[in-house]
Amino acid sequence: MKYDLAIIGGGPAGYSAALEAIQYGLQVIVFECDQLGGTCLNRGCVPTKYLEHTGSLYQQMVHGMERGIMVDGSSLDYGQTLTGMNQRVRELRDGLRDLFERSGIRYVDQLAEVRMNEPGESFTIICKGEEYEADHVLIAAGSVPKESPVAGVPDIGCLLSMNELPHKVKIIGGGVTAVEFANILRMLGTEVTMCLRSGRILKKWDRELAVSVEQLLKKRGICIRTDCTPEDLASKEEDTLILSAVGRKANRMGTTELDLDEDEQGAILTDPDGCTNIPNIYAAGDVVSGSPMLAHTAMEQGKRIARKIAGRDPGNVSAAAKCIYLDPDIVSVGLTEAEAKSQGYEVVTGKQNMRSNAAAIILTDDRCFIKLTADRKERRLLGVQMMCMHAVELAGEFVLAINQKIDIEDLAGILHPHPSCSEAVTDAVDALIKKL
Amino acid sequence: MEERLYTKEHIWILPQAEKVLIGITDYAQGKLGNVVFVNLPDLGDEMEKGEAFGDIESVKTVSDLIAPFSGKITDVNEAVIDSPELINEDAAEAWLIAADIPTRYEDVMTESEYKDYLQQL
Repeated sequence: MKYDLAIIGGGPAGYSAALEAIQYGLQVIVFECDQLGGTCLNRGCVPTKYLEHTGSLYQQMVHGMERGIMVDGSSLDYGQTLTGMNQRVRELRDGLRDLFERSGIRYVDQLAEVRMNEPGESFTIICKGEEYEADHVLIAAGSVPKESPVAGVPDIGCLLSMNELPHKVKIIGGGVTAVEFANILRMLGTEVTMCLRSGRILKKWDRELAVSVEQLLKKRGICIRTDCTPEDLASKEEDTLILSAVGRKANRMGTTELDLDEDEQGAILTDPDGCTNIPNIYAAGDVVSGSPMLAHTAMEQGKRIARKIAGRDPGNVSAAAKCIYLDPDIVSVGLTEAEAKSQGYEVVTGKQNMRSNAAAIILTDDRCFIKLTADRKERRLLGVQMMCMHAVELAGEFVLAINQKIDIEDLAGILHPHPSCSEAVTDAVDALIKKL
Repeated sequence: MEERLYTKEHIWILPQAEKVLIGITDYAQGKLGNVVFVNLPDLGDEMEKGEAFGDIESVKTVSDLIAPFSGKITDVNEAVIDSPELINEDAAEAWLIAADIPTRYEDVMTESEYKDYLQQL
């Protein structure tokens, strides 16, 4: 049987493309050598959010006394935490597999290799000695952790399979993964030191957000060492587990035989529609050069490619929210103030801190704010940076405003429930309008 | 030692041998209340007279920091970023940024002029 679309990788890009393509009547086969759901579901977003929520609950319990909740002898059983986490992950993975079956998507849980035939002919996918033919191939093989700069130091993902929580941890790295794990470990009671080579954490993020996160982590008792030398990174301290979180790189397993254009790190070069240099071979998600390594962006890329293959309009590319889950959440949508200025916009900003927001005061003692960046001439929103409880849930409103180029005045007219953190959106818009 | 200069936006300027230190006045910190965060530019950024070069957050409000002249930022006080309460403790001591010496100062006041200005507020 010949397939319309063969997908290498069953993560967010791959499964979203498969589910979209099947709706248009395409015959789809997905190859995944690990577990369906990819890094996001099995080792990334989902399990870490479970741990973050657990850490937050644990801290609320420990500090519950301030609100009159008396708990005697509180302790944490990390093995039990992981059992609960794995249960949820399995539930979601089973649901996805079930959805594949019901949708008629063929799924092969083995490593596959893509081979070119004559130009213009279909592709051959070899998997465990069997050959499959497909007219189009989507490479959605995701990413793998970059190797640690210190030899022999394991990737931080190993925490998801440890039975006991380490007492003291030193994390090499200062990006999103390092920050989220540092926070999780600290919330669960571990002593944490972050060691990074650069001058500040989250160096690719808006400076204000990065400084705000640094202050939050320090307040929670995490030690942050910047400008570390290779010796600093490698130095061992007693009873301290060293873990690496220095970013991710494209996973090219099964696609190295193809003559694909790639960047110096081996990530695949594509056009904005996901087309590679080889006709009918597409790439989506973390495997693509310049990927923001966001699951929701990978999903969108996968769906757009599926529509394109089906001969449909792929649709516009949406603004995407970059999120860090720290309770309060850190969210950045669209452009930062610095990016907007460098792109030549006439920039105006409006900022609202949340000391007068009832919901924020009820929920947290941590500093929260919403900062909007707009273009004075067009009077529309260019970007948002937030540090706010449940900010990830507020992101959609801003994505819509940016995608649809909504007038700032129309944003001011949105009535938010009281009390809610979302009221700060109206306050920030008001602050912005005063400066327009 | 050169005298401090002041702006209507409650910024103090302290000219030094090779640079100018910039901070907010004691009056401004008193109006703000407890300072919880200072958002300052990066080293090497340019500020423009009359435009915000950063902002300062207190428990009450967020206020823009208005540049007293145009110029390049040559230093940022990381100690104030780490401990914003230093501004409440001693606003005259807690400089925020350093900048290149401008060719001239415009719309600035001496200390006594600034005191008179405060009387009118």
